[in-house]
Amino acid sequence: MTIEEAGISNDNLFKDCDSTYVFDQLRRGLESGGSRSLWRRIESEMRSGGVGAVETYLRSTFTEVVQRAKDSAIHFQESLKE
Amino acid sequence: MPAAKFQLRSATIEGFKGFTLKQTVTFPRKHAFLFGKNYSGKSSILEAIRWCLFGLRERPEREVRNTYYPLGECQVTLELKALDGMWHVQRGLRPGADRSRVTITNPNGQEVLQSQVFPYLARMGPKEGTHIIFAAQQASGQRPQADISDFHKVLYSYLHLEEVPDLLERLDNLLEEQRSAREDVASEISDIEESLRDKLNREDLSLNELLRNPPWGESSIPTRAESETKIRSFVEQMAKLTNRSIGPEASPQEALEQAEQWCQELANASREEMERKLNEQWNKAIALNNLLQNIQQAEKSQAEAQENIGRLEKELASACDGQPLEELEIKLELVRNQMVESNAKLAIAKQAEKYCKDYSAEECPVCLAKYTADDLAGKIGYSIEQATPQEAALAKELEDLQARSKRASELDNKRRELACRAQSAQEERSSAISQICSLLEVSNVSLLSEQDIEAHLAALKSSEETLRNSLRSTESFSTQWRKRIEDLRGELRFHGYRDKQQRLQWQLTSGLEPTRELFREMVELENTVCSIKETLEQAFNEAVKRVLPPLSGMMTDVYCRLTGQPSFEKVYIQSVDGLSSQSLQVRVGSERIPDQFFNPEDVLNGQANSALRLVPYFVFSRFQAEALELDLLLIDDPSQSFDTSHVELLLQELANAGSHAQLIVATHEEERFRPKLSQYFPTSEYEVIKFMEFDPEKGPSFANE
Repeated sequence: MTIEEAGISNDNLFKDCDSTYVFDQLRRGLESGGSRSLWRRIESEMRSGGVGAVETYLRSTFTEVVQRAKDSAIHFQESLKE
Repeated sequence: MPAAKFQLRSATIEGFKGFTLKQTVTFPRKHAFLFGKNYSGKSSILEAIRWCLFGLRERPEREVRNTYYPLGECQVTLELKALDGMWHVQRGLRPGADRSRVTITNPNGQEVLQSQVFPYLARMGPKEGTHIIFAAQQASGQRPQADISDFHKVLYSYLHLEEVPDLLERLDNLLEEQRSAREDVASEISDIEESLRDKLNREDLSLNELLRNPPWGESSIPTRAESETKIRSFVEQMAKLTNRSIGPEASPQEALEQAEQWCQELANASREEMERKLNEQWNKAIALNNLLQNIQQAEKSQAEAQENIGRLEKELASACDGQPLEELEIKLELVRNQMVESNAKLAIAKQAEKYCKDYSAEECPVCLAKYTADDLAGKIGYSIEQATPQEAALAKELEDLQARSKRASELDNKRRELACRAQSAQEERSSAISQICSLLEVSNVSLLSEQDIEAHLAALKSSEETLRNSLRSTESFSTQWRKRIEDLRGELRFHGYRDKQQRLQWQLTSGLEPTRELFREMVELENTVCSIKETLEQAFNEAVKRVLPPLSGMMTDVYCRLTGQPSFEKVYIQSVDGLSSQSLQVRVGSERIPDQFFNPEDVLNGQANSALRLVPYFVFSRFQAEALELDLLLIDDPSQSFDTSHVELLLQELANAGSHAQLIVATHEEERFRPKLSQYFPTSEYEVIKFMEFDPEKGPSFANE
């Protein structure tokens, strides 16, 4: 099948398959406000520092929330000893 | 098609692969076709270009050095023409060095970093023969990839999708890490809950154990305030008994401890007092008993002595003839004196008799009276005769008196001795009586009879028994107090258990709630990220699935043109589940065996496999929408990768690629390629470089035509 036979113009081929299109589809597919808000933040990180920045941001967010839970557990255990 | 920013204009090579002395090959036009026999040095030029840009990371770099040129430099310099002038990329491997070093200089001769010029320099295709080298323009967030040989990475790169699988992979890894962290926190919370439940169970057990025999007896369960009032009241009672006081600030526990101490002290004091009194009574009774025995003994001794004295006095009177002993002594002295006198007279008479006999004296030697010798002798003889019996009688009397005196003295001494003993017994008795008076505190001795003393002894024993009973009674009280203290403590323990039970229940529910809330927040964040990842994955898979059928068709088209493959003429791109959710794999098949797909490496020869890996490049050559920094297609011996029997098809694809890329093609099939070149490339756009000979010590000989 040639490109002409496939009936796909250059524009369409890239438009319907590149990351911009996929991210746009994702944005439409997100249902909850929380996930839309987080995705906006992810996109912002991606614009400023790429996928690596997203990973850094999410890892730090995960680490923070895990640490807070662990700190809370430790604090609770210490309060039991008193 | 937009042109690349940089165009390769020359390569100066020294000591690299087939090159020894420094030589420069120039590319004055856009494309270059290098023709020559095998082993004439063509490949070394393509290798040199690749090495200059990438080095050799997978193998020791010493391998690139020409073994016939050991002491010279191993160096390649590329001249790259840009709008602002000529740039130079130079890579050198110093003799003895393990790793090469690259330097890039701008048209002003200033050294710049590779990351500044070619931040996204990449290559793709098979390792040998054909190299596609490009450097994309800077795109924010795009990851530099030195080698994108993996098929799916190549496709995603061309489709401008690489960010998505990269993000998905990172989200996957992050979620995996987060799952592990979440499990750790969940386990920690679960451990805390278990520990609290254990403690709660222990408190329940203690409480149930205490309630089996409640310290408040049959009464209803007291409140804490009621228990504390009871304790306060009991302690105050104890304080009164011991003349002590307890401060209002003392806790119930402290107050009970204080009461227990007082109780102990009271019991100890009573016991000590009783024991002291008992001891006193006991000692008094023993002393009284001993003194009583002493009196009895003294009286007995005194009576015996008196009796013996009476008997001795009679014997003494008999020995002294009824006279006093002194008179017997006087008489004895008198007789002794008479005896001395008589002895003296007799001795004198006997001396006189001897004198008269010896000297025939006629005069008395004593009175000097005149006698005849015979008279004198007769007189003296008479005196001696007269004196001798008298003296014998005196001696006898003296002997008798002496014997009696001796006996009387002995008796008298014994009597005296007995009298002393009687006196001593009397004194002992008096002393004992005096001591008893003192012991019994009786002032008048005459009032103290033996019966009185016996009565006192009996009273002492009775008092001892009373004291023993009192002691037992005190200990009984002490035991009761202690029991009361223990009961009150039991009540406090009950309140303690119940308070702890309530506290543990609170900790298990409300106390742990902030931690649980943070855990829920953590899970919610994880779920949100997971939901984003799943939605992204879905959007990505849908996009990829939509593009796969036309892409497979286009790849089949190009693949057939390049290889003329007769057995497996179809190319399919499949999304493979299981290996990686974003992994794409290329498969080949045939119209003759529909619905069957094969791994190209299992069914295709090396040439077709190499061509297949280049197919995406040629397919997307038609869609290159953006200008690149560098766009080089280096083909070393096209017959290694392509079907050259249909050279027109290959040249058509190369011409398509050449519309945006700079081609450098090296081949020994000059007779098949050269006549067709002008049909596909404008003559002004390509250069033919002819390789003539190859000398291992001098390197290749070549010339531009």
